[in-house]
Amino acid sequence: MSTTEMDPQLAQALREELAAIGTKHSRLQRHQRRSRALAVGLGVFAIAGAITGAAIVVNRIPGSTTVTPLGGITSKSHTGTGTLDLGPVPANAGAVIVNLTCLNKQGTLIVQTKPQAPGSTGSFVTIYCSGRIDPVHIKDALLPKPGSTTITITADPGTRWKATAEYASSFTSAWAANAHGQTYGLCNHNGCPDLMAARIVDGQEAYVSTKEFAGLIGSGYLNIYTSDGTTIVGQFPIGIPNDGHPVATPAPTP
Amino acid sequence: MDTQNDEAELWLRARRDDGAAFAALFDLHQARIFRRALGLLGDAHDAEDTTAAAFFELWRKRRSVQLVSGSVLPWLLVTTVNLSRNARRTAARYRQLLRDLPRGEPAPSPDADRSEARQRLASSFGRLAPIDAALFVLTVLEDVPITQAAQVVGLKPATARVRLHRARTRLRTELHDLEPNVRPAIEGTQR
Repeated sequence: MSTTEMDPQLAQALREELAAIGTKHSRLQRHQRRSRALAVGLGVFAIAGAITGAAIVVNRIPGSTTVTPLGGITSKSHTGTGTLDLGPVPANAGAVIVNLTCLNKQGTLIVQTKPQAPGSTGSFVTIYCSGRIDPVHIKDALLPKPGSTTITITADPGTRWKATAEYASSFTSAWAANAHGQTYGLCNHNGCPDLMAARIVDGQEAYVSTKEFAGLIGSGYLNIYTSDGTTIVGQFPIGIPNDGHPVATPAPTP
Repeated sequence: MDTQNDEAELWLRARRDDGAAFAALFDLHQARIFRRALGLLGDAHDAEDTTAAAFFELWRKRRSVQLVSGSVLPWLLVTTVNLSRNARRTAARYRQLLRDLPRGEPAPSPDADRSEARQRLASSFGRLAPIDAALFVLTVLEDVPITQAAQVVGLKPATARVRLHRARTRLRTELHDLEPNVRPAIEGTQR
């Protein structure tokens, strides 16, 4: 066997594992169920947006972000990379809300967004026009650079797009702390608190210990706590704990 | 036939959890990813684990993967560089899956001189910032134009050029006795 090629037997097995994605045989999907379950913390509360709406009410979980449109919508249609002039940046603006639509089915559109995690200098939303014509709503696009009033939509040459955009205020609430001094709430651009909001059990917010989550490798169970960090209200099965039949909902506490 | 468009089309399907599309992307890029991992790690077993993890990560992070010139290859290469920097932790994430995958006979180890050079390179790499290591691999070892490399690591081309210059100078200094032949980066076109 050549040392510059992968073991063919392993390559074939890997290929089969990837080919099984999207089917019930995918061990990769079962294995990753923990990220998906815990992504609920961010996913469920992702802000469904309306550029026309008034203040977008998010939720009461500490660490969540509220985005409020400030009005003055700017529209533009363009082909290839172009800018949108939004006018002077209001003092209370923290982000830009952008609605972006592909007008032809080719190429990609890229919008720069605010950092999603500590240490990150920024992030991107990439839209693949070959597969979609419905508008994409972005509620955390970066503000114009200091001294500028424009944001840039980066597009492939020949990609036609239409955008509407307006400034918005963006407020991220502080994490709360329990009696033991542990912070709790949603993961956000500041990172994750000691107890991450994981899902709602019987109408009550429930949390997973960030330390326990990081420490668990492979399969097992993660305790679900109330915000006091000690009362256990259930468990998440992670990966394929014992029986090879993981379930997506928390199991009752034994 | 337009390969880039074909791959962008494959990626659109893959993002919707189409296993056949992921398998086709694996066929397209696994050889190059494995060779890059082997070049960085010097151990076939570790390189196999890292290659597997890079493709598993491609699936896990499918919502945020950025295509460059219609290809997932630059993203896979950057991920491979990052995973190689901590191959053991990488393998741990997918421990159970990797353990269950069948393997043939262990590959013979590379010769001692090359192995030492690789270890030195790996060690110097470990001291570079992750973005700088990724820029170096993409532009100097993989011939990706610097404008595209900058895009995949989220930097402006001008910033990427400065960081790359510093990284190259540092590696050249640290590895001077190995006589590294560090070529200039390809400029490419800004998209």
